Amino acid sequence: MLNQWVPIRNFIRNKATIVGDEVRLSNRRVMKKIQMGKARPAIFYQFDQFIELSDGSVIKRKSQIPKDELRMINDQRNSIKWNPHRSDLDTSDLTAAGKIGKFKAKFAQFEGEQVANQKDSTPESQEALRSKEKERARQKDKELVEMMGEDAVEIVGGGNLYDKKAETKRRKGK
Amino acid sequence: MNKHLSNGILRKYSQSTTNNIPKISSTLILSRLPVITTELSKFEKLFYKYQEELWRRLMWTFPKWFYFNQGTLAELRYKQLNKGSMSYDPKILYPRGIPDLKQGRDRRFRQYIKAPKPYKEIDELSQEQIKEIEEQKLKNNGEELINKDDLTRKIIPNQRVTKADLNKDDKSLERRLERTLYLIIKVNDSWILPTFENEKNSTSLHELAESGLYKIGGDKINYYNVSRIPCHVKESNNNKEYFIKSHILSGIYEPQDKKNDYKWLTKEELKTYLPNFNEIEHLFSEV
Repeated sequence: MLNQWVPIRNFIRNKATIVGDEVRLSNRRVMKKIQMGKARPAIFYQFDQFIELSDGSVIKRKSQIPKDELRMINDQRNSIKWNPHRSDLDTSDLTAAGKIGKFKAKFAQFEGEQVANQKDSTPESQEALRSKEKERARQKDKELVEMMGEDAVEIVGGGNLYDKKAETKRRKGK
Repeated sequence: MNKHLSNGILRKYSQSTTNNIPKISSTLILSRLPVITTELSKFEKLFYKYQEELWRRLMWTFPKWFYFNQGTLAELRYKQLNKGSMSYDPKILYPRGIPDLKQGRDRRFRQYIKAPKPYKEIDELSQEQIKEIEEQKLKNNGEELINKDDLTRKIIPNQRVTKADLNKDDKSLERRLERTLYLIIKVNDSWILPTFENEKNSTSLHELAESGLYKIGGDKINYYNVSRIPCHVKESNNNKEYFIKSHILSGIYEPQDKKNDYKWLTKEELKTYLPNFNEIEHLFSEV
């Protein structure tokens, strides 16, 4: 039994088969074989980062984000979910300390007042407001260009999409 | 024979109930868990430094194009901080080797990227600005003025050594942040772990410990009881002292009787205070 010849199936990647004079390769994609011990993990660039939590404690960590410091506004230290025993946390508006809360605080005056203003405003006052707004926007643009430097060129957005038909037409034309 | 046996059992049973009722008491091991990580040993520091260097050698080039869109202000700030290395010129002789440039990085060397910051470091400030800051310092008793409302201010890690450590205040819960602290109290001129005797003979051990703790330390303590099952028992002269473990999470221990002294100590410090330390040494944490 032991001496009996046993055929071993050979595992050869993308094995060629010869049909007549032709050599046929399978159309499967040939992957490069990774040898044992040759595999290397993906090691991305990492920054040493300080994270300040909302209660003022600081944690050091490594991160791929290009920032040395991060300050948390909402985290486990002031969230009601992690601190159910704390009565000083306000649960009425959970977004108060976050981005939306800030936005609301900044633009609260536009919520109800604008409607009231429109009623008793004259066309002249509206025109003045509009021109003021325009002037402010122009000033902001000017500042931005100054910050970018003198030779800065504004990027033109909305580039041309690749059009296959147009491309073939252009090639034929040549 | 059967009569004989039952008589024997009865006698034994009646003896234990009438004469030897064990006195049960509950001892509380109240601990404050470490707040910060332990200081690394010299070997650990060297190990982590070695690993860090190795890691940095294997690091891929920082994908600038992924984090900073071309033509944005963020990219401009990044470029100002991180100047690319000199491009390769075949006409120039490089005595220290030909640069191997890819994505503006010389691949022969490790890469160090400076991340853009919302504030300026001292070496980036002008002479006038430094002067201004120093004047402010003088006005503010030698301390730098920090605007607490400014969300972009520099993050400075807190001190590992607290005020309580400097004042050697062993009544404070904010001492030895990297170690576990245990509460001990002074009763009849000897230091012990808080022990409460079962007078009503009805409550469970952990409830006995809780009511006792509130009695001696006030109810401004938020604690977490690890288990109802005691972790240790000390038997002597028909007394059974059960040890219950719990952690103080927040709040403060305020002695209700002003005469009662108390201390928050680490395992090493307990050695000099507790007379039966060797017996219960294994119950305390090394860190």
